[in-house]
Amino acid sequence: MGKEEERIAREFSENIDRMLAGKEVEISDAAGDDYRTALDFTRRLIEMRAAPRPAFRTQLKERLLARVRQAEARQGAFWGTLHNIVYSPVWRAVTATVVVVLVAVGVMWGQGVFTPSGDQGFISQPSVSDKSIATEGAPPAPSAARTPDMTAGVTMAAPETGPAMAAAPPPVTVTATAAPTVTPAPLPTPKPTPPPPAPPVTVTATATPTPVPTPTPSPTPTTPPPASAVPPPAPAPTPAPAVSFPPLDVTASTGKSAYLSGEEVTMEFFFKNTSPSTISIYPFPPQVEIMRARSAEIVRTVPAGTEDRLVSPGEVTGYTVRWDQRDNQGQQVSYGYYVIEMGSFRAQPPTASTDVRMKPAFGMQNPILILPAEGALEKSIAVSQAVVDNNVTITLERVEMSAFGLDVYAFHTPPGYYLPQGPQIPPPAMLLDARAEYSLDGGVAKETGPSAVRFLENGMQFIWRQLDPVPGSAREMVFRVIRLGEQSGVWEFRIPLQ
Amino acid sequence: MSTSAQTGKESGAVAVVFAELYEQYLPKVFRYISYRVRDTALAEDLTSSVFEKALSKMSSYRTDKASLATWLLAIARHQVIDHYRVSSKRQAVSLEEAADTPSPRTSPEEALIRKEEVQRLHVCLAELSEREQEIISLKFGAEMTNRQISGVLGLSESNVGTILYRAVGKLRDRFRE
Repeated sequence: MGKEEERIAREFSENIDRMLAGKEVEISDAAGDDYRTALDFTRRLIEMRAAPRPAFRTQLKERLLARVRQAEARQGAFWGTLHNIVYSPVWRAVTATVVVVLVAVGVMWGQGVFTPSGDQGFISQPSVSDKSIATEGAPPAPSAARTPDMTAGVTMAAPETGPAMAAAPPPVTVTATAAPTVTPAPLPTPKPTPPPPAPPVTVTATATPTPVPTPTPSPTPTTPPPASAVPPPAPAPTPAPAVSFPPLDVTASTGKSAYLSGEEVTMEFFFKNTSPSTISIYPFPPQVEIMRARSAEIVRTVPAGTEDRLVSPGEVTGYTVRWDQRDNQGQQVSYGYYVIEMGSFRAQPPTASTDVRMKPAFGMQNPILILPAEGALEKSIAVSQAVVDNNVTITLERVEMSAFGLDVYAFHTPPGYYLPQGPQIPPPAMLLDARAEYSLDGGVAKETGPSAVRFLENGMQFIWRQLDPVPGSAREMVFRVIRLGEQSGVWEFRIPLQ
Repeated sequence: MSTSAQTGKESGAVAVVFAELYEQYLPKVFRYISYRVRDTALAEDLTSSVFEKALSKMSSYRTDKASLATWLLAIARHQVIDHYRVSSKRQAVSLEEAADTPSPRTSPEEALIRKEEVQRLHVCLAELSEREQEIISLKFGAEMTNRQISGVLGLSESNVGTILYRAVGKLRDRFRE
């Protein structure tokens, strides 16, 4: 039972990973209802996830990148200075001299020049030759032979050779002085270069068994070429391609976030085939609808094309729509936020029997803002008016106006309100939102859509954000809250704007 | 080929690399934090802190010890824990979410339904154990594999899978009620 549950749980997790990657889930026949409903619920969980606001995303990125550049500029100055010092002629000369001396000392040390008996000096070789000597059945090497390799200069194995240690200090100074810049490189380098010319034969012989495996990285790349002579490199028959969902990444770009009244709006749409098979998009280009952001009223429809566009895996195709800011009746649309939605289209392999359709909407993450012709009011007004209706008091705290829109803040304390603590979520009775509408100078009322809610210590704040900008000539705003949770009413506020 | 030119080039390169990392990980870190704090404004603040910390600690990051995702999420976890540690001093908790950026394709009614669903989900999530909430957040928010989650939480991979499966089941049942 435990094992079975573990298996199901593993399969379940793998399917979640597939969903998150936009791939198709694989459900075994043995999967029960419980498993299937859990997967269905997982889909909803994925749909309900929050996404960072584009403005936040951009601002944070800019801030962090500025820090990166600042830090680098400082670091760059440091490295620049270091670079200048290191590459100055004097420093170069000194460094070169030190290196030559050190290498010479190291080589002499390795060859036993500093040991008392000169004739045994050449037996002391890099570790490779050490072994070879042993395998040839040579008599145990004298102590000098145990001064192992070129690293002897560093490892200080030499002291065993005894008295002649007047020569020992050089290696120590080598490591010390060399450390900062130059030595780290020179020290390892002598190692691969078998120093003395004497033992080439032994080296080749002994090189094979042990140390050679390390350098093998270079031989390995040479192995593939001969493979051409080798039979077949497994042709990897492609499995029947599954269509991932969504099979396309559809993106829209408007280039600018705000347009002057009457200015042409350019919208570019891109379709990237993220599926392993060729996808047919029909109709192409799909219909495009431009609608008011809050009311979802369609102002302009760009009809669909008639093409059946084939897109290979990984390929990107697209098209451009230019909008003259006129509605379907040929009139200039009013200022404010507009959003784009695409008409439904089929996106699936040409031969597929299933019907995979998509209907992308780009929402407030990619809105088109048309600015008021006379410019927008940019100011913040503290309103602080309280209105009671049906025994419910709502206070309009303030309105904030800028070229990018209008934000309105209201406040209300529900009966029995308390501030939720920690990760605790307030009870459903406190999960309210508020609806409102507003008009300027007696004009047509605009809907605000649902508010965002913020829980404060003494009550709840309702915020309507990014409503259409207020034209510079507007003199009065009438803001009406028309619903609070399930409670209807009219809480009307008159706000002088000038 | 002057020094300044070289420096400029290198600095640009690092910025580009960082920008790529940012684009790749920001949504994951933000979503993870959103699951844990359920407040958009607060989630944005904490996400900013995570990336700022990551930037200042970048030199101490070791690729042999953890993947970048694991490292970043570890910072994010500590950031959330620190936040709750001082939460007694907290002035406000808010529940802003989908309504903040209503999708225009949805009608106002649909937007409201969606908002209520999200709020209900948060209520249900809060009823799960701390460990279950953490795993759900790491899975759906940070999009981590069970292996990565096991690395972050110090649990075995199979344990993570089992807890996740049960947690989603519980969440589904409570959400239906």
